[in-house]
Amino acid sequence: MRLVTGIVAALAACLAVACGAAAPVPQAQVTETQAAIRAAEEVGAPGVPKAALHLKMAKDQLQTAQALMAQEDNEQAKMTLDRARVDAELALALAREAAFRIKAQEALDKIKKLQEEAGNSKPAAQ
Amino acid sequence: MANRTHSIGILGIAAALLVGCGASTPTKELQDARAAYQEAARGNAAELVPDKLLSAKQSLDKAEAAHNEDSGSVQEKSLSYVAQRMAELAVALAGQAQAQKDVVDAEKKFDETQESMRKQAQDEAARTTMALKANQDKLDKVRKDLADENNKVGEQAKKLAAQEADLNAKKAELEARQKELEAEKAARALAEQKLAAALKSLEDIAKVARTQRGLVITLSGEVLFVTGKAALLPLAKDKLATVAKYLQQEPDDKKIVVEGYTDSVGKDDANMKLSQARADTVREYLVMQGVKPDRISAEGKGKANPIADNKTAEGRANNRRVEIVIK
Repeated sequence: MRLVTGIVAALAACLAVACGAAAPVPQAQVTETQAAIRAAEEVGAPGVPKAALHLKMAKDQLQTAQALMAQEDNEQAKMTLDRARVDAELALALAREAAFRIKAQEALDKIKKLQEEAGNSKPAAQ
Repeated sequence: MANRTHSIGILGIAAALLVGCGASTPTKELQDARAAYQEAARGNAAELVPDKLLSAKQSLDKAEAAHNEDSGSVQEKSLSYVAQRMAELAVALAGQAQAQKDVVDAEKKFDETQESMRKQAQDEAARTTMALKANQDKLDKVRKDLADENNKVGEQAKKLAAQEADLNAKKAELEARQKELEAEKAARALAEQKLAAALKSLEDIAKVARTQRGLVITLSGEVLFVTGKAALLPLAKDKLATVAKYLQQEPDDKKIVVEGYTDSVGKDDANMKLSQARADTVREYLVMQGVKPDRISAEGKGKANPIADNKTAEGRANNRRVEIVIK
């Protein structure tokens, strides 16, 4: 009886240790990271080289995290997801920045064209 | 003893410090994170996205804390990785904000340029319109001046034409008057010519003298009448016809008086009667020959106004006479 009790206690302790070492399953973080990756893809991150790089890093790390979760290494998975998430956000920001830079350049080109037209039409008007 | 214990304590602290110093060597990840943060802090993130820069700083602080707690740990590396990305994210977001601002500025500038161009075109059009209007006004004035000038010239031409017509009329009048005058002159010359011719034929048959009383034509009684009577001799009629012709050449306003005279022989009243009868006969005959009766009268003068001596036969013959006085 004492032995059984001892084994159960040891098992419980062991489980407790295991449970204490392994944080809870970061499923919500997985979902959030997936959403961040989709958002980056939607704003055209794959078409912007630097953004595409971070998008790939995010995806790779998401995969790694999911593998870690399968091995029940939730703590490692959580850290990996933190990195994946921040890479996805960076990809999104870089893609949007590039898009706005193109827009700004287009606006500047439009002004240049207009000024050229003005310059061309001026001598003709006089 | 107490001193030893104290010494051991100091040693422990020194050891701990040594361990701490050894642990303070940062991982490559942390170094990268620090560099990334410094770069972000140098840029415009502080101005444009201060909250993101703050998040990056907090993230770096976490990595630093992990490093201080357990240098070279997985936690330090992972948190450094996140911190580096957070710094990069701040830079990217600042770039995005800047680009957004650039877009807004550029669009504003575009609108301003467009507006200024539109205004310039409008001003240009207004100037052109004004110039056109000024030109039109000038043209209208020139046209009006031209029309006025035309009218003036037309009026002058009309006036001139009227003056010319007037002049022509006057000229025609003058010419007519001149013709008239010439005709009159010619007629007068003709009349004078006729008068002179008539006077010449008269002078062939009678004595003609210009006296104070006027022109006096004296015809001898012997030539005209039967002795003692008032009846005309046949030859006398030819002579009187010549006289009548002459009288008709004289102007109509001249009065003609036929005066009969005798010599001093015989009774005075008989002489008066005879001289009157003879003057009447001559007057009648002259009227018959065409002399107008209202301009000719007859007077018997008897023995008055003798022109020769009644004592001689020749003198008496001369005193028996008829005088035709043209006054």
